[in-house]
Amino acid sequence: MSGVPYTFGTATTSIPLSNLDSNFVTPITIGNASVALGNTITSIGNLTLTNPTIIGGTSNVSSTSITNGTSNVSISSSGGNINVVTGGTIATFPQATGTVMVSGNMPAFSAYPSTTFTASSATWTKIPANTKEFDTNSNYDNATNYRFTPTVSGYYQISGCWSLASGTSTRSLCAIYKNGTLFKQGLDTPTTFTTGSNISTLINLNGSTDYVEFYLYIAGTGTQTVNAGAGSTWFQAVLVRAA
Amino acid sequence: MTLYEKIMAIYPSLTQQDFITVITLQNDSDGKGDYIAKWEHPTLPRPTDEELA
Repeated sequence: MSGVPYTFGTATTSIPLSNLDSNFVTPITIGNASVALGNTITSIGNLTLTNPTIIGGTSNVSSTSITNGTSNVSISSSGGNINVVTGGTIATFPQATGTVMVSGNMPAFSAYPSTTFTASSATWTKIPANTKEFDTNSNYDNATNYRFTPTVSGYYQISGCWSLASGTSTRSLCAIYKNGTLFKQGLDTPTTFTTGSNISTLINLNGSTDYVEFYLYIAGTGTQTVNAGAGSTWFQAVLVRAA
Repeated sequence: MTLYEKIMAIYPSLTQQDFITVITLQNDSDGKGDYIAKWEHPTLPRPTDEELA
């Protein structure tokens, strides 16, 4: 028994000493059915469990993280909700399929043209919103294409507004283009003198290839000049809910 | 002269509504200027590049 640091005085099955070494430094298997450890407190360090089942009671952890490298960690319930309690307040995750969104991964942006620009009459012209007010997920291209390509799939509220700086317009329109095609048209004001248009619409975007752009339409004589600045002409989008 | 004005010079009978419904002129603000994105007029043929030059 020399070198074996524990006593198995109450063991009901013999443990061949050949399976143990003096310091338990090699892996061992205890039992082949069930094993009970202690009846008050049992401390085990650096323990690895495979497919453990916690039958009941309250499991307490202290300064502990549940990690799985870069893979997902799943907490599942076959029939009920999952409650997360913090500070006595319960957040309930109901039985549903989807993605829980938090502020950190919900795309939202707002952009506007920094200088006035001209648009030809009767021509759908993309608004060159080259200045960002904010772009939480870096999904808006303000340098080349002036388009919003969100990387989270879901339903987006898209808004835009433009106003005329100078020129004579007899019809003002705007539209949201999805993937290069007119998708939703905004307020149409076919009157003798118009000063702009706006739009707000809900669009489903796939979170990878779908993109939206903001176009205006002016009917008049020659070219028209459109206002710049965050308060006059702007393009915005925000994720309302995930797909 | 804008593309719209050139087209109107060729087809004076076109209306503003035609440019909303069956004809689409577009400018993608990429420095390439105005172009015809759609021409679905039921009777008038799309102007040629030579006519628009």
